[in-house]
Amino acid sequence: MESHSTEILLRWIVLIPLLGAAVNGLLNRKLPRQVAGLLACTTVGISFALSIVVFLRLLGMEAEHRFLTDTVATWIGYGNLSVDLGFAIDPLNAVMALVVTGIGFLIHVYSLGYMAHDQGFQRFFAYLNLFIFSMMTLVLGENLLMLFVGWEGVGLCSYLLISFWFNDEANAAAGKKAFIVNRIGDFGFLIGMFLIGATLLPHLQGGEGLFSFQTLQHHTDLLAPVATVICLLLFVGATGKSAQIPLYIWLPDAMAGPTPVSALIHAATMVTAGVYMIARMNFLFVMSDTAMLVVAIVGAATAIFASSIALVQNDIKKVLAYSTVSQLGYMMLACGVGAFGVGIFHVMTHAFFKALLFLGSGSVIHAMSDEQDMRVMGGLKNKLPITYWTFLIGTLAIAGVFPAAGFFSKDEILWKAWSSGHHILWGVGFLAAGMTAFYMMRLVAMTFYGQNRASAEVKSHIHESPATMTIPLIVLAGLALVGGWIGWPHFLGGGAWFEAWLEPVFSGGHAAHGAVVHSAGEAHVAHDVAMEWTLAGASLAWGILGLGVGWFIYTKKLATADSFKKFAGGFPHRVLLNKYYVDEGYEAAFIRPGFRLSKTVLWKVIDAGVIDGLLVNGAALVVAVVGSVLRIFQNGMVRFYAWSFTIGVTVFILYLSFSG
Amino acid sequence: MNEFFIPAVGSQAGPLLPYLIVAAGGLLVMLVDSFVKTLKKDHLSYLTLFVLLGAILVQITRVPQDGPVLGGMMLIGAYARFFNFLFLGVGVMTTIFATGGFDRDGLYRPEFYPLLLFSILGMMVLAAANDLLTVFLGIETMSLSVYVLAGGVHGNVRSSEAGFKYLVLGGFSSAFLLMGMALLYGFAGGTGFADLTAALRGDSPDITLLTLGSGLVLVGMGFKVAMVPFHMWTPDVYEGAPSYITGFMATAVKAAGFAILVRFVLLLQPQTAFAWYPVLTALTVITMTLGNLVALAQSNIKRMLAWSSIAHAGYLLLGVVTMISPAAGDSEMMLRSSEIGGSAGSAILFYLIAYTLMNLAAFGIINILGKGRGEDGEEIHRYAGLYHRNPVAAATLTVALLSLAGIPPMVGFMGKFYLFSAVVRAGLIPLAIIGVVNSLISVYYYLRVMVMMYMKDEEEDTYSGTEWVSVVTSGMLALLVIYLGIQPNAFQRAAEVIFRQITF
Repeated sequence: MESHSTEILLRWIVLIPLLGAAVNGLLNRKLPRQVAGLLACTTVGISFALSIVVFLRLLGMEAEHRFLTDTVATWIGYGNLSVDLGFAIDPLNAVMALVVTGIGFLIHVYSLGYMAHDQGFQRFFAYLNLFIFSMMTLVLGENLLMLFVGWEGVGLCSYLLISFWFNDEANAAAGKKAFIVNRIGDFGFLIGMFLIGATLLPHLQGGEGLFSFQTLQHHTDLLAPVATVICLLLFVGATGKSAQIPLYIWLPDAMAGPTPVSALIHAATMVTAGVYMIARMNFLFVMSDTAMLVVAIVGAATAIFASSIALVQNDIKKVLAYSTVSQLGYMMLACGVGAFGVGIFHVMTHAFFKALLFLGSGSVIHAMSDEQDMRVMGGLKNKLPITYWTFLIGTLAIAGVFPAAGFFSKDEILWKAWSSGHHILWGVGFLAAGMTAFYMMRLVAMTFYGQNRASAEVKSHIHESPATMTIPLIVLAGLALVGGWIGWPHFLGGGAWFEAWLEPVFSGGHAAHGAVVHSAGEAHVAHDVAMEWTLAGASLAWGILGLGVGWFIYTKKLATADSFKKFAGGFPHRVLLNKYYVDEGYEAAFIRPGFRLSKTVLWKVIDAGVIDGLLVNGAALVVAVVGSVLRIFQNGMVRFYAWSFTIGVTVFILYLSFSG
Repeated sequence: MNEFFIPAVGSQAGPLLPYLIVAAGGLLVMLVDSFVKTLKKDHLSYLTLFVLLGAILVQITRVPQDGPVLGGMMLIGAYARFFNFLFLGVGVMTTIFATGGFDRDGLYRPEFYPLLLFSILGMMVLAAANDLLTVFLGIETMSLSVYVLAGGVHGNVRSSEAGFKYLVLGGFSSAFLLMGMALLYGFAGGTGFADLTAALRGDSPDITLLTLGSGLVLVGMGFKVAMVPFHMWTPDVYEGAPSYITGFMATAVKAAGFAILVRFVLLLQPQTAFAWYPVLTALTVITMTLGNLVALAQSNIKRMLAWSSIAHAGYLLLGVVTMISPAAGDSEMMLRSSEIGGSAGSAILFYLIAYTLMNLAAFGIINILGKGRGEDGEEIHRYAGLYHRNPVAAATLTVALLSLAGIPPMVGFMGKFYLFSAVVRAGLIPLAIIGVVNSLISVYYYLRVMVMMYMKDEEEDTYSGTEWVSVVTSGMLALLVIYLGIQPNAFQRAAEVIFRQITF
């Protein structure tokens, strides 16, 4: 009985936030603000608490059998096609569940303060709760179709929340962009899913859920011949959701939404869904070396590409946005070199420090009367002490300074890239790590050090944020500092507990993919440890160097930064500042021609002619109805329809007579 | 009265009872309207609802022996009953919406009620047709009533225009339909479906007559379901007709078209399949794609839904194409083929249910919000801030639009899922991909309306009253949309059983 009661919790973890969303959404302004906020926070809090209960249950089980499932109903069932409406949890999504509900809870609390004066307070929390519901469906879904349901749900919430402040034209455009780009990703995902269905369906026994991860893992042999195609298609989906090249362009613009949204959805949780999906499907990905290589290369390329753009941005949230894109690249790199567990580890540590950094930036923006341009900030260190210190911890974490969380996960990723033989990718990742440290210190220096460059009006309003905002910052800072310790590696005398925890999920994959590396590695254990020490030391030194250079240039030698702007006629700076002109390129290549087709050809020619004809008639029609009817008949509209009808029939009949 | 009927239909009165109820009900409503002077406005709607619910009740309680009746003119069975439920159900909803609309506009149309019943009678006859003459009778009974329903709003020029266009083009398409039937008569020597089947099985059937005749009949049916290039009337008529009629046309009339189209296509399989397959495939792809692309650019919500209904006709045609695809019709793979054909056919039936529910929910809301708000009452920008004025209406419309867009867990997603998986099973992967791309495009224009409702500031509005009966009815439809999206199995299995009945 006891065991049953734990399993049934899974559905409540997912459903309780939906309840909050429904109440807040339907009652809206009839609900007092305090009640709405409390309700939203409580529902997510309960989900978090339940996640912990389930996690503890898993912890108490034997490592090999850590798997709980809660089947609500059969969703689709006919013939041998059956898909359950159900949830399942294993070590992998237990981590995700804790991160999503835990960070989600903190950000809900933070939003109480941040959104306190907003018109759409209740609506905001309804969307936020709806997001948690969708994200938990994605994470806990027992099969690929459930994951897709959540996938669509989080996309919708993201869209709604980006354009939350809808009066701003830029926000609406950003929402639209996120939407369109993610459609392209979803297309890949859907086709990949169809391919899986079409391949598996003829071979399934009754009762086996078609898209269930269990079934898929069980039938990898059947999927092997099409593994590369399926994996690449799924990866297209992941590049959309997790903002990888070439579909990353939506994420920086998505920062137009409220800052808690950037922290929760566009940094800590939703954007990692692509990484989670790949980790979930690891058994499929390891069957295709091509797909794995593509994932790794795209990841590494995204990491360096995005961090180079972040070097010169002046909008505080833009820097963090490109930083997020680049960190997501690291996670993909980890998956691509077969270290799925490390990728998830970085998902977790990144959730801690990036949520912290975004919320910190929100606190700064809040204090600066909604200013986001770092060029008019500066000197906030003493005025916002809590924000400053927590932000600094986040910066150390993302820069990979020992012993903050980022050191363990990022270093592990780089080590896995190196030890799996991808030395070039390691180099790319290493280079990007230095840039990361540099641009983060640049951000800190421009924001917190030196003199404040704001107007007197803004200056007089600068204040530290309320407790609802600072407490989540402090908690997250604690996590960003020590959260990585659960992955303390063996070579530093730790137990690498995190890796061991995920081991059962990925063991199947490692056995296949890691075989060669492993057998070769046995002989070089000693050499490996020495190498691991060297690389870890190098990346730590490199990170500190990046921080130091950033600090030096932006506090002491501002002239150096200016001279870079003029370097080579200012060309490199301009290119970076304009993000390599990718948006402009896409605009010219796809968007403008597309709109032209829709607006001019399809609309004007095919449809607007009709509308105009109607409206012109309508305006002229003060005369009797009968007269108007005759007029329409004579103006050619109906005749035109009948004429095209006849053409259609003629072609149809001609075709049939000749083919018959 | 009884003495007149008994010799004509005799022992067949049982199976025909629902048809007789609707027919007699239509006459009754008409007479009551003319002769009872003390009639209050709502009385006719109650009477109509009474007739429709009575017919539904008879359908449920008295399941007759399946089989041909009236000398083989009609085929009574699960397939016909399935569609009868659909038509009668849509009739109930349309009556409710229309009455609500009359109340608000102060515009009363007593002729609406009998005409609605007569058009439903035509559809019911169509779904049970087992003879080309019955097909024609059904189509015309349905269409003549709908012409007037679409065009008969007094003093409304756009409505008159819509009705007139529909009439002229409908007559035009009927001419092709009749010509095709005449050719088929020449081919088979009889008009019964049984005659056609016999002629197909006979020695050396005249394939040219068959192909031409069936092609022309297909054109006539293609017109009713708004298949490109016979779709031109749809946007104008959908926009001009009153919204409750647009909802009726988009659901019941379209379903009736598909009811007979599916019957007809299966009837002539596999002889005509090879000739039809390429051209129907091309038209299906064009129908989906054109519908969705043009819908993108619409600013009037009814016109947008008109183009969207063309796109949905395309998805349904995808099922039809799958049924007759060479893979499904290959005689060497009889076992597999019946499975593919069956999954495509039942997917069509399921999709019709899904499409009917979500479209009716949407039009129920559009109907009460649309007219009476001036010239641009149906422009999408007038939906700004609806969420703040009427959250229930906004939520209902949201569910309907999400479902139309095929977003899980709404029933529209399941409908597309069944359809596309049937297409995939038949090995027509490129068609499935085109379908998926299309449905991804469509999300964009449905979502635009939602953004208006939730994200935009409220606009000053002339109409703030709420017609609660319509909102609640639509809301219940929306709940069904969600429920069937989560629990589609029972319906799906029923659809499979029903479909099997007409294939054997």
